[in-house]
Amino acid sequence: MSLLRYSGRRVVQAIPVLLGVVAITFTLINAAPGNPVEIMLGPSPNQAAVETLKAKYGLDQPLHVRFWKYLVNLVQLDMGRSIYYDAPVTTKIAQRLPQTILLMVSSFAFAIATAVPLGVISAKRRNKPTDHVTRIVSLVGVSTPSFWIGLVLILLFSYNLGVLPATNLVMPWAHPSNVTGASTRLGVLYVAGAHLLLPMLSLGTLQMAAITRIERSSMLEVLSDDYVRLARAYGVTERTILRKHAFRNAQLPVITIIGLQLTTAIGGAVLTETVFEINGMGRLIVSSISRQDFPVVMGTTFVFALVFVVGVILTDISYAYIDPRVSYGDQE
Amino acid sequence: MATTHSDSETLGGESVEDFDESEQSVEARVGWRYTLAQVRKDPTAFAGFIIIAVASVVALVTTIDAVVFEYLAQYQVFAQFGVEKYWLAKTIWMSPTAEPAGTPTLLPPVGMENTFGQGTWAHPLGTDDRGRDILLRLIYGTRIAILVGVLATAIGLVGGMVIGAVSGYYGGWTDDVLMRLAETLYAIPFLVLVLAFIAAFGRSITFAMVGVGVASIPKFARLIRSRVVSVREDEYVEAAKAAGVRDRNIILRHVIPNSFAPVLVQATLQVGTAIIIIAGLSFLGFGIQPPTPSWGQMLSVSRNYMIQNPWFSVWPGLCILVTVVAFNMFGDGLRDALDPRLNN
Amino acid sequence: MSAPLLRVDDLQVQFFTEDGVVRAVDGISFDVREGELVGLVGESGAGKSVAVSAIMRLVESPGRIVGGHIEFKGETLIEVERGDDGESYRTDATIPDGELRERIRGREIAIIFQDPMESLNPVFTVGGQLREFIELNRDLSEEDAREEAVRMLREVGIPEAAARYDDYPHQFSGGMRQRVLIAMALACEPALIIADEPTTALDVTVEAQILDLVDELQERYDTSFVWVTHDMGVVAEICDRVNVMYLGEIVEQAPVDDLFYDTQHPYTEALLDSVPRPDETVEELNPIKGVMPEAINPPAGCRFHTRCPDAREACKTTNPDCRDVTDGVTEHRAACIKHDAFETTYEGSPPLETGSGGGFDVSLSGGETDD
Repeated sequence: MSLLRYSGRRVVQAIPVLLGVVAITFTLINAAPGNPVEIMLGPSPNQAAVETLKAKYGLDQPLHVRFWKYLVNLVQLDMGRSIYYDAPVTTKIAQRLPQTILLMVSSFAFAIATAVPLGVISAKRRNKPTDHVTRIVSLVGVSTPSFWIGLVLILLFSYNLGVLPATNLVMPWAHPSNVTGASTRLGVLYVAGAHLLLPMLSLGTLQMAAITRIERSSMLEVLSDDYVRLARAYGVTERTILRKHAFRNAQLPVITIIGLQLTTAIGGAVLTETVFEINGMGRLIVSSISRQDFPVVMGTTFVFALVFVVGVILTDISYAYIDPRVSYGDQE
Repeated sequence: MATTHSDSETLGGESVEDFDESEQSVEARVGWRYTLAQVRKDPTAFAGFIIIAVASVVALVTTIDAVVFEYLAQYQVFAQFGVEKYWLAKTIWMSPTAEPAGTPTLLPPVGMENTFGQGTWAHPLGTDDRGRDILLRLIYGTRIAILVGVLATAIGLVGGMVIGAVSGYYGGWTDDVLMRLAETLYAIPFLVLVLAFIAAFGRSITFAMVGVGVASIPKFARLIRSRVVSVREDEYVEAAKAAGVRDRNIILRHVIPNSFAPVLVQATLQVGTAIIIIAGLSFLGFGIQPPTPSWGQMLSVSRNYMIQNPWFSVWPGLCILVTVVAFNMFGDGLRDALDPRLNN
Repeated sequence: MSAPLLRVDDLQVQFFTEDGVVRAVDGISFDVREGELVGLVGESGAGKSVAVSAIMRLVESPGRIVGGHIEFKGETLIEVERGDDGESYRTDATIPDGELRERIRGREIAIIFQDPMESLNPVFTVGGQLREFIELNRDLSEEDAREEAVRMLREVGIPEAAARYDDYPHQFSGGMRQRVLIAMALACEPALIIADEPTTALDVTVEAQILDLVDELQERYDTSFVWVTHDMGVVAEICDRVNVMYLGEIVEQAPVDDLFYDTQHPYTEALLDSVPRPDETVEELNPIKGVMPEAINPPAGCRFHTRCPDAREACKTTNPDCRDVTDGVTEHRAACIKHDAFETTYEGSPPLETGSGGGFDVSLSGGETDD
C-alpha cells in the first residue's frame, strides 16, 4: 500500500518537471535566430505569404500566449504540425516511437541480463583473472562510443560475414505480409531478431559496462557490511549470503545507475538509429534539426524527456520496492 | 592501513580547533600530496595520466599549427617567413586538409590487402576518400577532441560551481529555484538537450561545445551543492562566519576548496563523456564541419566507404576509445586515491 | 578444575597490507569457562575485535590467522603451525570449513557486533532475519522458528513482539535493535556468545538497560560470554575475569576484583586512572598520555614503554610475556618486568622520560623506531 502511495507521489512530482521541460524547450526554440517562416519561403518572401504562414503556425501571437496555447494543446496530445511533413507532430512521433522503445528496451534487457551476473562473479572472484578481465572489458565498454561499436559490428557481421542485416528494424508484432523474408509469425520474429541484434549490441554495450562496474563495486561493498558478516557468523553458507543477504541490497545503487544510464541510452539511441538507419525518434530529431522543423524538434525533445522521466520513475519505484526505508517514508 | 592518511587527518582535526586560515591550506596541501602519491602508485591511473599528457601535447602543438599560425599569418611580419595555417604540418609532411591534385584515391593501410590496392609507406594508415592522409588527420583530430572536451567540461564546471555554491550556501528559496531548474534541465536527456541547443543556435562546433557544457551544468551543480551543504555546517566555516568574514570570501576560500576533490574526479570523467558526445555530434554532422579534421566527422564519412576501406572506420573510433579510456582510468584512480574506502 | 569451554593459545593474526604486515594480534592466550563472562579490554586498535573474530575464523582478507591454537569443547577450531618453509598452514586437527559453519557458527558460538544499526539487514524484516537464523541453527520448522523468534523478542523486552515481528530494522531504535541482536544470539542456544563492544554505540541509559538484560539472561541461560569493550565501567559491572589488551598483546589477566583492587600492570593502572570510579574520589582524572602506536610498527621491547610512567631503560629491550605475578595466590598474570617474576635488570636501570610529548609525537616515534 505504501508502495502505491509512493508511486503516486513520484508521478505527481514529475508533472512540474515536465512543465519545466516544455518551458525550457519552448524558450530555447523561440530564441532561435532563424525564423522558420523565412526558411520555408526563402530569403526575400512575399509579405502576404509571410502573414498567411505566420497565422497558420500561430507565430503572429505574443510568446506567452503561444506558450499557453502549446501547453493546452499538449495536454490534448496535440504538438502542432510539422513544417516539413505538413502532418501533425503527434502522428509522426507515434510512427517513430515504437522503434526507439524497442531498441532501448531490448538493449537494456541485454545489458542487465549480462551485467548483473558478470558484476556479481567479478566481485566474488575479486582480484582473480575473471575479475581482471571483467574490469578491463567494462572499462573499455564505458569508454567506447556506441555509434562506433555499431560501425564495427556492421563491418564484421554485415560486410565481412554477411550474416546480419545492417539497416532498419522490423517490429516483432508486424504482419507477415508486410515483412520481406517472412511468411509466418515465427518468421517475423526471426527477421525482427536478426535486425535487432546488431543495434541492440551497439547500444547495450555501454549500458552493460556501466552496470557491470556498479554491480561489482556495490556487491563488494555489501559483502563487507556488518549484516553479511553476521550472517556468516551464524553459519549461513556463502551461496545463500550471495544470493539472499547481499544480492538484494547490492541492487540498490545498480537501480539508481540504471535510471541515470537512461539519459546516456537515449543519446546512444539517437546515434545508433543514425548508424543503422532505423526510422525512430532519434533520426526524426536529427533530420528535423537539419530541416529546421521546429515543431517536430520540440515535440521529440518533450517525448524524449517524457521517456526519460517515466524510466526514472520506474527505477525509483523498483528501488522503493526493494528498500523498505524508502517506501515506508520514515527514513531516519 | 594508510598511515600517512590518518596522520593528515589528525593534523586536519587539530587545525580545526584553533581557527586559522593558513592551517586550512596546509591541510589541503597535505591532502593533495597524498592524492598525487597514491595516483602515482596506481599503474592504471598513471597510464591514463601519461596518455592524457601525450594527447594534450599533441593537441597543443596542432592547435598552434592550425589556429595560432592562421591568426599570425594575417601579419606581414610573420607571413614573410611563410607562416600560414598548418605551417608546421606542411613543413614536415603535408597539410591535413589539402586534397592532392588529380583523382583522389582511397588507400587502405600498409599491409592490408584490398581491391583498391595497397597503402604506401608515405601513408601508413592509407588515405581517405579525398586522398588525404588518415594518420595525419587522426593526429590533427586530437586537437578537437581534447580542446573541445576540456572546454565544454570547463563551462559545465564553472557554471555548476557558481550555481551549486550559491544554491548550497544560501539555501532557502534561492536553493529551491536553482535546484528545480537543474532538475528540469536534468530531465532532458543529455544529447537531446544539446541537440535542442544546436537547433536553436545553429550548427557549429562552438555551439556544440557550449551546448555540451551547459547540459552538464546540472550534474556539477548538484554535486557541488551537496558538498557545500555538508561543508557549510563545518566548524571552520561557522567560525569564519562568526568572525565576520564576508559570504563571498567564505565561499571562495573555504567552501569551494574543500569541495574540490570529488568535483575534480567528476570533471575528469566528464571530459571523457564530453569527448564521446562531441564526436557523436560531429558524426551526426552537428559538430565540427569539414574540412577541419575530427574523429567523429571522419567516422561519419567512413560509413560511405566501408566496402572500399573498412579500416577507415576503425582508426578514428580507436582514437576516441583510447583517449576516453585514459580519462576514465585517471578519473577512477583519482577517486580511489581520494576515497581509500572504495579502493577496489 | 574442569577443562575450559574455550581455550585460545598463542593466537597470532596479521594483516598483509600494501604498507606492510600489521601484527594485529600477536600471541595472545586466554580461556573461558562454562557460565563465565570474560572481558577483553583495551583502547581501540588494540586488536580485540580481530582476536574475537579469529575464534570463529571470521577474520577477513587481507587479515590471516598465522599462528596459534583455539580449542572449543575439546574441538580444534583452528590450529596454525609454521612449516619448514616459513609459511603458516592449518594442521589436520583444524575442523574443516563446512563443519565449522554447520556445527559451530551460530549453533555453538554466536556473535553480537558493535553497531546495531549496521548489523541488521535493512531490506528484510527483523522477525524474518531472526527466524532464518533460528531455523538454521536449531533445526526447527518454519512455524516453530517463527514462534521461537517471537518468544525471544518478548524475552529481550521488545513490547508487542508479535506485532513488531514484521517491522523493518529502520523502524527500531538503536537499543531495540541491540536487543534483537541479543535475542538472535540467545535464540540459537549457543554455549558461548561473543559480544564485540555491543553497547558502545548506545547511549548510557540504554547501555545500562542492556547490561542488566544480559546479566539476567546469562544467569537464566547459563551461557558463557566473551565481552569485548574499552569501558572499564562495563567491565566492573558484568565481567567475572578480565584480559587487558595493548597493541595486540595481553598485558594483564585477572579476576575482576583483583584487577581493580590489586592492579599489576602500569597500563591497566593508567586505564583505571582515566575513568571515574565510584569507589574512589580523585581531584581530576588522569588520561593516558599519547596515543597507541600503530601496530604496523610497534615499539621494540615492551610495547607500552613509550607511554608508561614506570618505564625504564630495560623496558626498551625486553618484551615481557604474561606471567603469574602473585605467586599463585590468585590467577593473576601481568606482563611487566617490574615484577619479581621477571628476572631482569629493571631495578637497576634508569627511568625513561615518556608521555610528555603529546599524542602526535608519540605516534610518530612509534612509527619511526627500528626501521
